[in-house]
Amino acid sequence: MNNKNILAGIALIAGVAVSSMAFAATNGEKPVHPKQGWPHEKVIGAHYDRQAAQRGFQIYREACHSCHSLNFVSFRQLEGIGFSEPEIKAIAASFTVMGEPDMETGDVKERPGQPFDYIPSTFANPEAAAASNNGAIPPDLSLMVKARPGGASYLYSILTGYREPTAEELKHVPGGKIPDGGHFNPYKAGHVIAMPPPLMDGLITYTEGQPPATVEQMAYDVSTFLAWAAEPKLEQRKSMGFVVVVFLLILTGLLFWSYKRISKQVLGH
Amino acid sequence: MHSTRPFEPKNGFVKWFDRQLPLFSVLHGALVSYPTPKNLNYWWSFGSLAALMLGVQIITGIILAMHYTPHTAMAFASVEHIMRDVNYGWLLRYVHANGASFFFIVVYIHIFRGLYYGSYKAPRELLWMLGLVIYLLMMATAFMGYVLPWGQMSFWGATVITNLFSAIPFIGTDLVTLLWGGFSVDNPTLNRFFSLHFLLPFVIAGVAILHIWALHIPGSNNPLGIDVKGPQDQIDFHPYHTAKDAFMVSLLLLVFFAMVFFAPNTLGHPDNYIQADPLVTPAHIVPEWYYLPFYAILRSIPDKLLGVVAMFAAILILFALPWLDRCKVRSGTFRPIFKQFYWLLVIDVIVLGVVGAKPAEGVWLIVGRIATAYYFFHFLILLPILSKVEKTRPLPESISQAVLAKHA
Repeated sequence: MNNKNILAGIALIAGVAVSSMAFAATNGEKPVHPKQGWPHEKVIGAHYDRQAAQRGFQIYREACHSCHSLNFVSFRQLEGIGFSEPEIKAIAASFTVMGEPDMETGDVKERPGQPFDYIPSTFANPEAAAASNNGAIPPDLSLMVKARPGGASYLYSILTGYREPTAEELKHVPGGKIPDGGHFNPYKAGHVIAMPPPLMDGLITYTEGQPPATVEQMAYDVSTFLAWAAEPKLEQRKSMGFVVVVFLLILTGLLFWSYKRISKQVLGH
Repeated sequence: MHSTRPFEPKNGFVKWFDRQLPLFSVLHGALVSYPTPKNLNYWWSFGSLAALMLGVQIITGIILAMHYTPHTAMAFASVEHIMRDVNYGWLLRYVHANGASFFFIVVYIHIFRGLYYGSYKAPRELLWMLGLVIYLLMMATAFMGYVLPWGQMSFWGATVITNLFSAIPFIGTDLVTLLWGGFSVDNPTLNRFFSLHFLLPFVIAGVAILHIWALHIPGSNNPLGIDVKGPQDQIDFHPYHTAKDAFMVSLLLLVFFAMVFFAPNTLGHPDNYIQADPLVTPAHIVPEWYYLPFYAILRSIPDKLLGVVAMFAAILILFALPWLDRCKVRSGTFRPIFKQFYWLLVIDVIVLGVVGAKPAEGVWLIVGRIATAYYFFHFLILLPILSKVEKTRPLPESISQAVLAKHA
């Protein structure tokens, strides 16, 4: 081995060592989320499980909505998880929203929701949300799945991850004990979450013919719904992407072939 | 440079127009008859690819600006409006966000190609420096663009980076107030960043034209790094390079669109899907990947002002490169020792990038300091010494001879 190769070897080893350290560091800190077979995370044929997403909307409405807003989702968008137009009108009408100023008096009155309305928040403003929740504003859920590493699996893990900590785990919690109003959850950064366990078996009554409302089933359903809420154009994106990639594969092949032909003509090789 | 094919238009209108303003002649000279060395490899296509990405960014950016609202209370929601309500808005935004990353990937390859083949050496120093000006403008533009969605990383990234200027003695604090348009990153900051983010790409396009102009005076460098001796060493841009670049464009778009359609958020940070909140600081504030090596240099210096100086020096040092590396042989192919250190520099920059993404503590701080030291050592000490002591391999007689020998 001559000097050059030794130098290159050292450089390569240094590079590999640093990048493997990088991996070790990321794996050591956070627990791994249980892997979910999300149909929307497939590359080909990606789709939201419509039934699960509709059940998930029911869970959001009955279990989450009292604290968490969903500001970027309007009723009309619910078409995306398979609700029909009459169903959307009925859903919208079952919510009360602030209406428009009256043309005669200027008074603003509440009215039943319309498909074009956004899902109204329970709280009039962030201050009201904070006042009802120990000073912490429950985050808006519209983009939650995209705002956390791990996406829908993270959400599923949080919702199913509540349990008593082991003595060993408690050592890693800042201060060595769960603070008042906090709950242990190994998937949350810092392992303490303010939100009490939001789901329990049988909390929601699903309509006839649906699977039993276990915590796991509900966590799967509401995570599916919120994944859709965060990325409603995912199905369109991935199906269009398949066509684009196949087209570009063929085009790239043809262009390579024509480049080689031209090269032979003008360069001789 | 003399074209082998003079421009002789047949169309009457083109003749009339070109007599008064030789626009068609110039375009013909740039895209058809521009004589290039015969031996250019695929790495020489990345200039064209960079121009393509600039075009993609300008077009998608102009359309996005039609739907975006530069106001702290509405910016985040207007981006979601683009994602949900605007026809193919999600596609425009994902192309624009990933397009920035791919523009940088292409430009980094383009720069490292120049570093290996000595494209910065005479008679192309000005060409190299104009390229660096484009790179600096890209950094500023991308930084301000990342602030516009007004997510958590937008806000805190803007806060951290603009605060760097406060390290400048005497005028630092006033300068930061001027940048912010107030006493913290707020609505005036967002407004001026939007304005400048719209303006700077056109400045980049202008400097890119100068860059191409400066390229066409000496002509392209080549993998052998030797001068063109005559027409036998050259080939017209069209049809050879138009065909080759078309293939490379298609290949780039294949990788690019695979990313846009199937993993559009991979290069972004999840925290930027949380609306900016001046009262909540994210656990780790990380800049976009293309700044990470410089961010690592900044944080490897314990002193704030010196850290900022080192970070800017890391880029500005490249302007002096034609005079730091005085070796007459351009191409790394004929420089056995330079070649080894070149790859060490590539690894060094990648290591700096990894370090930049990690919290500045423990082993990362040490690795970052070693890598920073090597970066400056490479340019300031190693290259000047190498250009004096390195024994280069013999250069081929001419490009055509080398090409013939290769394909004999």
